[in-house]
Amino acid sequence: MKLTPRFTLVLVLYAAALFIGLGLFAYNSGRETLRSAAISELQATALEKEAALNQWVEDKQADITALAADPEVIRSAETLLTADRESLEFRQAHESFITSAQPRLISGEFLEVSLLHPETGEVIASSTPSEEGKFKEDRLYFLNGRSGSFVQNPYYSVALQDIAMTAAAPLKASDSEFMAVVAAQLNLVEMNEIISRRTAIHETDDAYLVNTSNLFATQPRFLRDPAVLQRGIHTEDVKRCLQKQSGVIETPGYRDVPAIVVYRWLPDRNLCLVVNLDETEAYQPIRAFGWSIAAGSMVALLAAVILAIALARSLTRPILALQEGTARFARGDLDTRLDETSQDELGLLAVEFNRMAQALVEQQTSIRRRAEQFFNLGPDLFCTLNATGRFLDLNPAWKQSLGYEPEELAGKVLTQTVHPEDASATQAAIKKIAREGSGRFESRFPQKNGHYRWLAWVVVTSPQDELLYAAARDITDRRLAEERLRQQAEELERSNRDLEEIAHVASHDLQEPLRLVSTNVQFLSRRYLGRLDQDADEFIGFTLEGTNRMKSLLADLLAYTSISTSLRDYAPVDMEAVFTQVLENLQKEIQNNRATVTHDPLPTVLGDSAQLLLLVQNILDNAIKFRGKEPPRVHMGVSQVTNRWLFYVRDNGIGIAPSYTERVFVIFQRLHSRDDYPGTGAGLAISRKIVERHGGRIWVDSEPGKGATFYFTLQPVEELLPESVQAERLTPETRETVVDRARDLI
Amino acid sequence: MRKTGIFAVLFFIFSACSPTPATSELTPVTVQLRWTHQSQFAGFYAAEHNGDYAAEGLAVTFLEGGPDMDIHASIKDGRTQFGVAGADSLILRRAAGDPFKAIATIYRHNPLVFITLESSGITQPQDFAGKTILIARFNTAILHAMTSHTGVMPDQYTETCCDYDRFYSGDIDVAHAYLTNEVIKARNEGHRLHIINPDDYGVHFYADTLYVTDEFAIQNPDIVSRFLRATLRGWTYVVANPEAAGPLVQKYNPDADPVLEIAKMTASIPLVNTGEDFIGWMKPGVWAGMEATLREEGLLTGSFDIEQVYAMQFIEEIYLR
Repeated sequence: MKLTPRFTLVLVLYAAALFIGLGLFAYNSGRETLRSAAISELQATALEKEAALNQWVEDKQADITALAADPEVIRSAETLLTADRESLEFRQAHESFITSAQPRLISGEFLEVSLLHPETGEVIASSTPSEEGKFKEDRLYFLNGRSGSFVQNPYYSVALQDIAMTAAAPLKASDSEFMAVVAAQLNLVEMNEIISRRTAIHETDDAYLVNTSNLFATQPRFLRDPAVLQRGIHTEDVKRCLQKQSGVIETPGYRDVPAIVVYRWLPDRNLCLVVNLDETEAYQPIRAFGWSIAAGSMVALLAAVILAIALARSLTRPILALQEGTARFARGDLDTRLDETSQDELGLLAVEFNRMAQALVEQQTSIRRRAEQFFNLGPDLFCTLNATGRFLDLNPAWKQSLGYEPEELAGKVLTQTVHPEDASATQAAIKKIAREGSGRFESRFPQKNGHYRWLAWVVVTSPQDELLYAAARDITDRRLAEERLRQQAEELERSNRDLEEIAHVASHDLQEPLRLVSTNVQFLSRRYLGRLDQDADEFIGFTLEGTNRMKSLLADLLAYTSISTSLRDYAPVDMEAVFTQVLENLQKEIQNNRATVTHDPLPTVLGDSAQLLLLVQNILDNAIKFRGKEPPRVHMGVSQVTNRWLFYVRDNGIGIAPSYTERVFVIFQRLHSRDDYPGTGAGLAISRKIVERHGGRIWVDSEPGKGATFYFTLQPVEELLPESVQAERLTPETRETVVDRARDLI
Repeated sequence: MRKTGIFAVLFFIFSACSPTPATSELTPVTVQLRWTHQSQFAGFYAAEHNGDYAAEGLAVTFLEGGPDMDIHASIKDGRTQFGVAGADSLILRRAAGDPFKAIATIYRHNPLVFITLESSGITQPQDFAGKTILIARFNTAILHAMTSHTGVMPDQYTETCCDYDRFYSGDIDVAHAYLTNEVIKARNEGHRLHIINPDDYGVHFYADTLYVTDEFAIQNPDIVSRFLRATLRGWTYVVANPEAAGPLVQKYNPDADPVLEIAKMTASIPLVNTGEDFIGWMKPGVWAGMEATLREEGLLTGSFDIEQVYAMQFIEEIYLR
């Protein structure tokens, strides 16, 4: 996210959190205040109603006492209690009793006034005639009214099908003797008024009394249906109140509307007084306040947003300027410098930037100067090429080497300038370099005078600059030398080939006349040996011997040359089988010399089986042939050295002096007289030729009288793992020397 | 093998030691109702329907009563654990040797009243002399007690049974009636009645009372308390919600008229929740008054301890604990 919106967002969020926090705090404390106020008010109302109720009950008690003390009532009662019910006297007393009570009935204070028999509780006289004759002996007001004035708390009257309250007082005769009970059913309208009296402040306030049977003793404001009233009330507040507790609770009342409810147990009345107010109304002001807070917060937040944006802009503007300047500088406008007028950190940053820019420019200038020095000084040909391969800058060496002024070549295309024969190769090389980033190629380039010179190019691409940097060196002399060398090598090869061919042909073609000579000498020998003189016999013998030797020499020479001419058609060769075959071939020699020939398990190698047979046979044959006094003991072993099999054949023969170890491999070179050791001296030369033909090497390690060890290496069928366990077969001391030697030689 | 044996023994010990296996297992109890299914027993149905019994770990079965049926028999021999019967009958059965114990009274005002047509001018028992009264045999005690209280002896009026048509035609002067039944029906039919309540004339008889046997109360006080607590919760519920009585009764008696049942329940409210003390509460004075009345009527003779008929311990445990 960019700095300006981020900055703005942070500021706005901070402001929002602040406003929400403060708003909630203000709202909650306001709500709490309102709640406390509402509770206080409800409690005050409850107290006031309790006091008023007690006062009203006291008034009623006083009234009934006054009525009971009314002399007219006492007089009537005396008669009513004693006179015959049917008598005139009784009826008059009845009349008088009702008349005495009349003012209180008319005023509505009492609904019914009755005189109760002191023992049976029978209603002797009543302002409601239907009550007369009933018995109230178990009613609380009667039982209590006999001993003193009493107001029975609200109870449900089955007869009235309604809540009733009855006051009673003992009626005493003039001599203060208890005579009867005067009872009055109270008009509950007054009590209802006391309880439901409302201050004009609220809309949803309500107050009512509930008796211990959960029945409404006064009518709640919002319940009018008597049937519903009769069911009673079972809300949480009433439940608690009827457990004789007083308190405050926020609960849904009988209307199922959340309300603040103050309940008060009235111990004197055995009633529960409930005063409540809907929460909606109680918290009405705070809602308006809440809306005001919300609206205010929104306005403030809006202001905060504007302020935040302005602040963020003022902070980010110089940063943006800085960024823009930096970008311009980065694009290559090195003269860009930032405004340093600001005194704050950004001003300092600008100063630092300018300093850095200056330093950078100076550094760059210095680098360029140095590069230019090298460019101009270099004896090699330096140039830059653009993406299409055209020359751009060329250094003075071009003039010195090829005679061109830089501007003569500038703009020309490299591939069109080189020797036409090299054009396509150069094109390909340039393409490859463009792909790989760098590369080399060689091509002929014309001098100004039209002669071509060989140039070796080193080219690197610079994708940033879209340039090719090229350095070229005149290698014409080297190319010529190389060419000469190549021609010499070819010549040598050809002459070698010719020589071998000559040798081959000669040995082959020479055999024919030799055979003729040999045959005729044999004829001579057979026919004239002993017939001529002794000298003639000797000459014939020499001639025979000479032709035989010549035959052997030619055969070996042919064998030697045929190795070079044979095809290199190599296949896996089991050296174990080769070894077995050789033993069979040499059976006679082994027997004659009582030789012991042993070997390691031998691997399979890649080669020509016939040649390898010849190789092994030559070496073993030599080992047996050049024996000392002891019967020959020959061992053929193998080991693995780097990626070659290293074979060796060790004997206990006469050995070779170190100075002769090379000579033994030269064809027809002999170290001993033919009489001591027969043979032409071609065996080891052929062996070397075979080994070298197979890409291997052969050498001998020996001291006179101490036997000799011939080593040769051959290719494995597959790449060998370096240093496998087979090397262990060599005895420790020899193994190291052999392996070291082998490494040196290979 | 030996291990298995030991485990079996251990398992046996543990299962023997573990407390009452599962709390989900409910104790089955049966209630013998006084009469056929109707809103008179709505509080019981409500307790069952609202899960109050289940909450107390009880599975309750209700058995209907009816005419020509001795509802006490199954309680006495222990087939059912709880019964609902008139308080006066409990006193008489106890006096006759049945070990019944009242534990709470549901109808603490007796719904039995006497009705006269308004046009008859008969407004109080004192007027019954020389009149014809429609009365069932089992209600005569209250009638006699009431009239005696006002000085009118039973031989001063004629008793008959039980043709209400003759009452409405004026042929019979007074008829016994239930506030929760005949009175509603009569008013529904448009008759203008005058009601004479025995309660106003010194006769205070509890009506439907919940009872058990002494033995059951002693052996299973916990079940009694749990049953009573749930039952009273049910009654408190129907007093506050009389309209629930319609569906509740229909559950047990599909032929019931829900409107009528609600009206009966509504009429019952002041009889159940009298405005004094608590639903189900009993007053020793009322029991004593009933005994006195029954003695006066000659229905009860000989020595008898009224306090054996009722036990306050359960209802006190519920309300005063």
